[in-house]
Amino acid sequence: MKYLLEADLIRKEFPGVLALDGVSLRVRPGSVHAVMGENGAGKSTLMKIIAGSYQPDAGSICVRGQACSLPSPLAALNRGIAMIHQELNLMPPMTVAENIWIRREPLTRMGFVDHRALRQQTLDLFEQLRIEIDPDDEVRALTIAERQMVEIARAVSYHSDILIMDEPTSTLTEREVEHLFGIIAGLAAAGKAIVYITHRIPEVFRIADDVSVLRDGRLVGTAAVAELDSDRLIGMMVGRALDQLFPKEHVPLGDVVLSVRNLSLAHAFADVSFDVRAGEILGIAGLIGSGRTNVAETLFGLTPATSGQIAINGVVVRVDSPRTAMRHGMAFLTEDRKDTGLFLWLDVLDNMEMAALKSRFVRRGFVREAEARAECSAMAGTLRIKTPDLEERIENLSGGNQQKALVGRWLLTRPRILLLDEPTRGIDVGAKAEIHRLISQLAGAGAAVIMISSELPEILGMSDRVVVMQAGCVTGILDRADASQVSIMRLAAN
Amino acid sequence: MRRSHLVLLLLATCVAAAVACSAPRSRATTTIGVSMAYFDDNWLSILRDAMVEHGRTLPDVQLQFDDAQGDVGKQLSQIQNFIAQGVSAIVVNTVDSAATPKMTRLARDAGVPLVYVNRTPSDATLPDKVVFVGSDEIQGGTLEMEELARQMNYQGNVAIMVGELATHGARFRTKATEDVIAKYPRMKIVEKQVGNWQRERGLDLMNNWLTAGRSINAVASNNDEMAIGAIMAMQQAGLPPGKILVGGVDATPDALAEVAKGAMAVTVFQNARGQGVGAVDAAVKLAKGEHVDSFVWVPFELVTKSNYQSFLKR
Amino acid sequence: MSVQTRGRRRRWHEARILLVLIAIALVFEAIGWSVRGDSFLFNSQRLLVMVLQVSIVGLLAIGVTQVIITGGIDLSSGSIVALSAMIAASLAQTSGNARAVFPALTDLPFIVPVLAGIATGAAAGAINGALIAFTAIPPFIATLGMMVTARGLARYYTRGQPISLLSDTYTRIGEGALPVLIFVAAAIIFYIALRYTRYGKFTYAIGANPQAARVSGIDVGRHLVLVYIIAGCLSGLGGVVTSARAASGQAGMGMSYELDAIAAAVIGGTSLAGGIGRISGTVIGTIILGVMTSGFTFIGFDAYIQDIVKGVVIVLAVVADQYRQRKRRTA
Repeated sequence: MKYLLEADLIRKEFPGVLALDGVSLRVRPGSVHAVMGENGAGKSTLMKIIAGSYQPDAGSICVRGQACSLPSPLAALNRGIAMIHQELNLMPPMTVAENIWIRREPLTRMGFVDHRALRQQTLDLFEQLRIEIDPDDEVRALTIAERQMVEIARAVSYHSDILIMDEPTSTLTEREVEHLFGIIAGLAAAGKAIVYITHRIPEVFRIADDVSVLRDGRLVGTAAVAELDSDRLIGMMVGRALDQLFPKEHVPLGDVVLSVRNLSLAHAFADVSFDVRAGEILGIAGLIGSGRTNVAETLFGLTPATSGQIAINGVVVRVDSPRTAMRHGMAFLTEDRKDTGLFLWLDVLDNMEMAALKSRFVRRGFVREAEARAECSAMAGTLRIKTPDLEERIENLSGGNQQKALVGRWLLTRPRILLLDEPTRGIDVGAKAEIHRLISQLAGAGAAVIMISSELPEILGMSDRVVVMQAGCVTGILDRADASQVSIMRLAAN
Repeated sequence: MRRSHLVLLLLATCVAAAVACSAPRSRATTTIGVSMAYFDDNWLSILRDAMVEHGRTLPDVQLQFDDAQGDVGKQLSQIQNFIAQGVSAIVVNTVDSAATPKMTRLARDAGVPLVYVNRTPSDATLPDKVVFVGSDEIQGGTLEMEELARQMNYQGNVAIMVGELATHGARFRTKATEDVIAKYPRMKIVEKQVGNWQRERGLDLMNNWLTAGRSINAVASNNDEMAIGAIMAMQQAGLPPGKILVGGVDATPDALAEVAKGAMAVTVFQNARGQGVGAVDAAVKLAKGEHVDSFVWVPFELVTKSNYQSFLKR
Repeated sequence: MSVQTRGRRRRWHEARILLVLIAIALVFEAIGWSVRGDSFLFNSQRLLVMVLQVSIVGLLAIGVTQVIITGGIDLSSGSIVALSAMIAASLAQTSGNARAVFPALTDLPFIVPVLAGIATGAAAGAINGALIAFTAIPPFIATLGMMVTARGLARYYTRGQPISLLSDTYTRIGEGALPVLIFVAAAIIFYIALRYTRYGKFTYAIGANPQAARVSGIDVGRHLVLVYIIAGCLSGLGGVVTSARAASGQAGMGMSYELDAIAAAVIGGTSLAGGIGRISGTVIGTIILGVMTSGFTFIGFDAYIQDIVKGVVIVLAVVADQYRQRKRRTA
């Protein structure tokens, strides 16, 4: 048996969109097969078809050489295909063991759940996967990384030998990523196949054996990773070679716009001080949990500081709510698009105009619809947001376009200080480059930008200076010339 | 920490309030617990007032009222509470007559005298120390319909407004109405719908009937509130009062005013005062160990334009 | 990317609920001909009655729709009807009434009880909103508490005695087509408010994602209080119209209206998850309830079966709507 999974000439059409146009995917046993492509390229649709959530309009699927139909996720599971979702599908109030064995709990002779056996078989499973989690912990008490481990364990418990992972590392810390890669390598060594969707090029070179690239619903190609280099892979994805991923332009810096002195928030961070000038991009680096997001939230008034000073254009101000922050010209692109950014069920127009509504698009309580629409439309054009029209529910846009709409929301408020928390997380390379160019342009136009990012290349490429945080304290501020991966990591993880 | 303080404070307030309320009560030698089906029913509130007033005239008798809010379960626990509290007798205006055997057993087991008032219990026989004070619903419905029939010259179409389904009054008054109509071959029931005892529902029903276009000569309503609703609908539709005969039961003040205007042809006086006074008297007697007959009937009385004035003060 | 696209989608959405309404009406029309030999629909008087009898539920539904859009729920509207009906009626009595609640306050101009009733609703709504916005109490519990408390207050106000002999100017509010006009006026006002004002945008935003709303500079707490006050005002107005219509105030008024109102909103396409819903849908949902009530009476349907059928139709209407929505989204 050469291939564990063969999907042949899959075609799927949604009203108005051809999501997949004759895409084929062949996955060898014992391999990690990366699937890449810009958002909207059709990766998720293809995975949902393989996992039984969607039905293809044409094409065939063979598992272990046998043609089969997969009318439901359960049917796929029974064929040995398990999907680990980007949004995890666990029941938070239940324990780890209960989550894994739901519907299949070992029973006593009385018909009650045999909790001792349940615990033991969970421990056995975890030992095999080298996972260290107490089976009796409630899932809601676990970190995101641990929850992911539980999902993987659940997939393995079904004796699945085709595991689909959709961007599993997007919310993990370095160490957690290492652990995950260890588990993936172990699974591949045991003869299982892993289909691995990712945006992160280094990850592909790190763990994948093969890579398939999709673009606009078509397969660009499949190649052995050993035969590729980073530039060629990026070229496959965007259809053009990207010579400059992080196009920070050099602009002359103006006066200090935002000045932070000894800012502290109990239990989160302490004594944070820095200045940002007009035209400057200040990067904030640090591991997850270092307090960098907390600093941004405090600056924006979501969690007012317990002590310290914020001065804007030399005047000390009190920022105790997002509204006051916005009055002082601040804008805050939050880290988690879905949780704190998007109004998923509202349309693109509503999503874009919401922050600027009060200050710009309302007269005597009534929304000046035409004006708001014109501005949003122009902004959507500038940002190259791909959407059928402004009335599309934002839920139906790809991640990159959602992110661009959120950037647009804040630009419409005409901010002088931009707080950007992970501005390019989970979006494709093309959109990423566009957002980078945009940030650079904003700085060039005189805005002060604070950019938090977990991706060191992004920090290094974009920032004029880099604030490094660790455990709630600023451990150093590096000039662009002094900043390197090594110097930052030394300050961040020591 | 703060929350527990708040809870303590609340508890303390409740205890203080309870002590304040119960203090004067402890002086009485005969405490009678009264569980009413509804406090906010027009007619039942007259019954309740009669009990309150009559209770005041009796020395050493204390009445304690509870509102079951139309909930049988609530009413049962109120009775259990009365028993636990050691009252001398209990008066129950039942929410649902089907539940009375259970209530009867509770009282008998505890040896507490029990008086059912207004709504007939469904028990086949009532044991010693358990009595019913009230009026015969069948008699009420019959009086209403016979008078309507007489005014209609024993011919024409009748629409029936039924009270809340599954209540004693609604069942028996409706049955009596239907039985009377069945006696006269030239009379016919053309409409029969539920109005839940409520004025607004009566209004809506009548509106719907008037637009349905079938000729109606009389509306026989299970109570006055729905009947008044029917009259209001006729007024708003521009029909002269009395064009369609309307009958109700209860003889509430509002209904008597309609009778006076000639808008309501007939209502039936259910002697709330008589039932209330009778129930309290029966309870006091039973508490003292005296004998009371199982059924104390307080008759219905017919009210028309010719005699309504004598009911205004009752 | 034009105004037309937006309009087209909007009408399409309402068209589905409208279809349900028409289907139900046609069923009654057919049965009407076979049972009564008469048309159910072609009678202007009856068409008025259909809406008239649900105009108060409709008022509540307009309020509850807005509450549900914020992701909340309002169980207290029916009880607020009773409380404000009692308070309004007590200030609308004529002199020479031996049983007047406030013998010194009779023959007041009709605007006094009207405003008092609405203010009562506003106060109850403010308490609902404050509890929900500034404590961690979920809307279900906060408004459940208000539902019980307001009903209790309505009973306590006159110790259960009904209030009657109201002035003619006051009862005129409830006569003829006026309740329908009040309902329609409220529907138009809040259709516009939700569709074209900042208030509306913020309401949808909070329901779709309260955290994102806060980050976007919306004062979520204050806005929630406003929405619940508006819902309370509409319930208060409902109480005024009810008491005027029945020419009396009774503590049992508006019983279980809150559930009819929620049903009307949900039938009309409002999502209990928040963020989605329109007043136009709610109006159609309300009329569906009215058509069923009139229809059952028209064909002389057995009273014992009416509620069963009504319940099934409510669920089916929502299932049909959900099914089509899901089909559209996955398709």
